[in-house]
Amino acid sequence: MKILVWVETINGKAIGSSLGTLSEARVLAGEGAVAVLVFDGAAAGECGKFGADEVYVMNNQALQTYSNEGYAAALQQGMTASGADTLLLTASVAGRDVAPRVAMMLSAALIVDVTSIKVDGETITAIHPVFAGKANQHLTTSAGKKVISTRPKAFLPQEHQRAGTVKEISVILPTIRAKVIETKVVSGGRPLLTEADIIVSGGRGLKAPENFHLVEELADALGAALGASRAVVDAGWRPHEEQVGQTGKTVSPSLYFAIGISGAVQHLAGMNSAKTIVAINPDAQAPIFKVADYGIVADAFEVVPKLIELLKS
Amino acid sequence: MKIAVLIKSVPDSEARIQLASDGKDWVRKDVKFDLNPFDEYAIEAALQLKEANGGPVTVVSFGPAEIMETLRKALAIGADDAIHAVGEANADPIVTAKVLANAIQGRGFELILAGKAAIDDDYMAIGTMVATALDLPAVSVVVKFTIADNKATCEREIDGGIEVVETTLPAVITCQKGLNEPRYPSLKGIMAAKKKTIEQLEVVVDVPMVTVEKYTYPEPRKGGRFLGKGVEDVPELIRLLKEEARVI
Repeated sequence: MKILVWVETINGKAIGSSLGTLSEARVLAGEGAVAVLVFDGAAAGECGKFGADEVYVMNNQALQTYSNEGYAAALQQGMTASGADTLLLTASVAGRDVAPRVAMMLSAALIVDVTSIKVDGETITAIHPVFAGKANQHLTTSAGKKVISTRPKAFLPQEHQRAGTVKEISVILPTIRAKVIETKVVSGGRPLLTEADIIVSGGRGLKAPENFHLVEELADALGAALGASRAVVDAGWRPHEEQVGQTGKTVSPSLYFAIGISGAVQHLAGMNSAKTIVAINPDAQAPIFKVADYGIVADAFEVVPKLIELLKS
Repeated sequence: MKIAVLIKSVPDSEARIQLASDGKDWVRKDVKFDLNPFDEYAIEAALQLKEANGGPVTVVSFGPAEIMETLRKALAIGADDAIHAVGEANADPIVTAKVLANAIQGRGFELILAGKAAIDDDYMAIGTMVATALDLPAVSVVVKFTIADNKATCEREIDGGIEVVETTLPAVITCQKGLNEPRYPSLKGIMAAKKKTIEQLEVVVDVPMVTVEKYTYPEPRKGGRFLGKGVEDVPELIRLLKEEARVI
């Protein structure tokens, strides 16, 4: 089995969740070879540091902008160039969009959004949460070609220095029929939800949209990303991009603050793989306290300003 | 505009999922099935386009006899007809995508809509795989789109923002929450649905490359390490986060 890992980059640096996926590939390969594909050669050194034996670099200008068809073609050609039979990538927004197309193009077995992987000869078994996290589906394949996407942050970066030999390769891109014509950034300089180490989320317990400044200030004091429950998104208080949960984003931070959030099953589905959960809610019976590691049964308006004050000092 | 909407019959989102004692499958008995919530946005988008430009709107689904109720519901909401590819799907999304692609190929659909994912397996793969099988472009997780000059301009949700994608047609567009407010089936719609055509299609189902070995329940979180009572407990909370959990 030879694994090719697609490592995504932003401004010349590999993104954290991609380095986590690469680290997992290193573990799965044992002493076997792990190849990486990047669209920015500046990240090659990092890839070597986190376990890549070979780093295939595609320096094509058109790949600087995402496209479903372009990236699928590039990944397919990366597989051919590297001789890999298994493509590993993070189930990021781009990863979830491109994996189905490239798997179809490769006639490969596709297993998405996995939280753990086992290799046994030519057989891969991986776990994918289903039914909004109510169960784990253990999927297995021995197909000749495989595409596996990893849930962001299910695997964390672990340094393992390898040769990281750079090979520049060209790519032939198809005519792109679905083109990105504009990108509107909403996150305002805060970390991205699916990459963030710390997330501060607010819910209905904040009583009014104006009160979300408490959530924002706490997030800023912690360098955190902003999250929201479905209730406040549906009420129009927060944008859908911030929604965490079954019909929003699934996140896996080291620390998740649930402020004024009751903890409905659909919300938990999106955040219960956080390493540490803190709940602030005046209702001691709120379901969130069953999953929270730490909590304070009190009003957010009392507790959050004190948290902000002490964290800033 | 001839529009196809790919739909799936899935366990109701409130359903309690129980696993068989040997873990090889989940227990379907007494579980209520319904139209996949994300597919409701797709049907609504199709009906709005039909109201503006004319239809027809065809819903397409792959599943056993039991999905008929879901197909009738889609017709009751307003779709004109349905194609039922009869068979059992499995854990290999390519198998399902090929069945659906074969079912809709050559029928002149100018736009194919689908929900962004099914709430049961959450593979988020079928829409884009069907597009690939039909050699069409695909735009996924779309929260807004308009059609003009034989192109669709779509806004899709990305991390930290919105990506605006312009695609030629025909194309596959998968729909995200926020795209629209899906209408409910009216009594008139339910009556009309009884007379609408559901074409039963015999299909070839490939041997899957991916199979389910088993299901397990996730490890329950062990919560409750510390529970404070008020603002006076904030310093202790911070101390625990720094020294015990080591997350700040």
